[in-house]
Amino acid sequence: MNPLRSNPPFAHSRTVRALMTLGVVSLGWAGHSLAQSSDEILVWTDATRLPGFQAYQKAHPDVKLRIVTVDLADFPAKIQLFNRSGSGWPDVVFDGNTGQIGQLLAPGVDYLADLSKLVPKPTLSKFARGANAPCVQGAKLYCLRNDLAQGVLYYNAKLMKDFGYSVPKTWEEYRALGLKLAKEHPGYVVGAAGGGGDQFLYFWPSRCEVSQVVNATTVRINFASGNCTRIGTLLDDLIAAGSVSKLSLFDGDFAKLGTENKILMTPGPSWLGEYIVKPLYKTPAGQMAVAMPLRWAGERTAWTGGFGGGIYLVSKHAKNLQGAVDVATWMATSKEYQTDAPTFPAYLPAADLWGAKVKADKYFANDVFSIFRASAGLIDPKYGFPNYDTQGTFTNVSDAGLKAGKTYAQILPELQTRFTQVAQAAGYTVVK
Amino acid sequence: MTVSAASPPTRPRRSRRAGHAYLLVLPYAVLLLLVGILPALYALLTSFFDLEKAGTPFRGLFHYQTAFSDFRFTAALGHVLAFLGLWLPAMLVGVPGIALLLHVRPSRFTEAMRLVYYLPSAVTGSASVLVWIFMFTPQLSPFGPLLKLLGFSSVSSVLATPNLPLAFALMAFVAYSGYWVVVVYGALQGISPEVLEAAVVDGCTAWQLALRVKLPLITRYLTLMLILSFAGGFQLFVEPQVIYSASLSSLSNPAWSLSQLAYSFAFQMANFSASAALSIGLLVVSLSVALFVIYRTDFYRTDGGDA
Repeated sequence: MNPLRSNPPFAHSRTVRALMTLGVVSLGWAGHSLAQSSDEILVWTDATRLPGFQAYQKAHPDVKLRIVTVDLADFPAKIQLFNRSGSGWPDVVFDGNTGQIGQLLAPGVDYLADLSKLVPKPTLSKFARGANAPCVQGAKLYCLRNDLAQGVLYYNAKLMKDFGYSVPKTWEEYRALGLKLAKEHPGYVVGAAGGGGDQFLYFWPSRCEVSQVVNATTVRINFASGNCTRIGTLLDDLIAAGSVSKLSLFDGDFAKLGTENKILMTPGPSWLGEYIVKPLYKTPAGQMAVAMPLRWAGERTAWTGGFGGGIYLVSKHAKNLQGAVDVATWMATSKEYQTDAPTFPAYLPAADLWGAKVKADKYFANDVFSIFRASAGLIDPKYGFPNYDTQGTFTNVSDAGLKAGKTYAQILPELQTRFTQVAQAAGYTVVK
Repeated sequence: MTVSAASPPTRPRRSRRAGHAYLLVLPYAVLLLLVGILPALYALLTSFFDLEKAGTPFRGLFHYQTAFSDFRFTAALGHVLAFLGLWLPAMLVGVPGIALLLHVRPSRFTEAMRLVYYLPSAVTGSASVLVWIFMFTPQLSPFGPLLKLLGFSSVSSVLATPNLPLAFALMAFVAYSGYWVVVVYGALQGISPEVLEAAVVDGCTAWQLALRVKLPLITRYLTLMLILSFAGGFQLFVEPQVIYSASLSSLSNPAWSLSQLAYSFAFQMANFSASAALSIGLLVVSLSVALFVIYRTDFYRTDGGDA
């Protein structure tokens, strides 16, 4: 008996998983080849963007779209399989995980179309500054940004007034406020560092060199630099005092703090209000407000991070390339779709129309849209999306470290080691 | 030696039976060829040649070197060996133990219990891992008070990296012991009752009956269990992978086990050749262990009586 045909669930799982991937691939391939006759455009989307693509189809009946809802968890892997089989690539893809762009742009993948020549320059210039930065390689552009998740500062205006505090503008003021809060009102929090959120809410805004892509073969990783240690020390001080939680913003126990109205403030992405504060923290209307992202006292600009935001990709193998580009451009820029989009559009003219709708919502205590608009261009573009998974690697080290009781002073060197190893295994030269 | 005059008439019956046997094995053989042997040969080719490059150059042991010198390889090997070191002894003691207990006094109760023991095996890999995550979360689990007593305040402390081999061994034992209890119980039922009666007449206690009479007669099945469990456990993949994704990268590791490392080579680093090399390595180890055990225990001998 062949030991590989052993305990069915174990060995089966790996084989079954590979078979399932191949099955999905061959279904996609079979489906695509069935429609090869007309220049049909194969669209892969998630459930949230599906209505948008359907609206495009309705508005353009002469164009044939085949829209498929797909889970894009292993999307770069699926593209690898299509490359091996030589056909089946989706023509237009909405990818909710911008971090995957690094793997898709790795040498040898050769899947994405260069949009810099295919999308009119006036259109490209109206995107928020840095919105398309993850997809830029040299002079080429490989995606169009759908939405931005710029980090801003959420605070409870009522609590701030009751406690007599003023809204911090700098990280130093934030730290001082956190320490004061821990003394005067223990149990209240000013942020959450767990669950891997720290990389987006604290380290990215501080411009810590997590994995800056210098060029196609070099990354800069330096967790010992001033940019990283300054925010690490701040977090250590506030975590020790108890005003920054080791939980994640989306954790059930942190949401409990929200329902008990113990969250004084927290850095968070622009979609936090609609999707987390309202339904999970259940903060009463008229209390939550939003302020500009914090800056360091010695610096003139406030930088922030991007906690999400999706991208539209176009395949260079598309039979109807211009048609596919038009679909992607329409989805990213049209007022018909983006005005009612769930999150802040990256295309600024559409964002202004979106804002008019948001302004009508009386939930927040101040005008959140003008803050979102002003901070849209402040996402640090140097953050970097190399061809390895930075989010998973960071979370795996920092969250495990926090839960084990380590301080960032101990976690930062571990991050340095792990990131350096992963980068070198992925073929990069690591510089400081 | 007696010459049986009846041999010639039995030959057609035997060859018909042999034909039936081949027919029964045929689907398995076809599947083995399609999803076992051919992919293994393809992996062998992929590990030595760069198939996607023009001219398919021969790379010798280059990809094997990449795979085995990767910074995660030693840790992954250590993790898998720690897991096997906990799980295999538990299986070797637990499975015959439970089967022998069930066999002491067969009744409707034992029928029901065999089904109860088997049920966890019916829940497939990834679904059962999600159930286990629920079981390991002190706030939600029915075993919550026990977990809190042991000092675990959250699922992150239960599934912290040092505890993972034990957690996986527990999961694997619950999932697969039932399956093997059914097999071993079947073997016990095949023991001739005369042997058991003779032992009782000779003054065996129940304990001696189990350990001195029944156990030696089922060692072949335990050997089989050892071979298959080693091969399956050495290729552990679903449990560490699902815990990694379900915890949004907080727990476990994308390359905790060797199979995960091979998966990571292929699908995260686009290095199919290194992945193939590592997979061939896993195959060679599992095959070697199987062959060693088979030849050391004369597994396929057909003379001598046993179950």
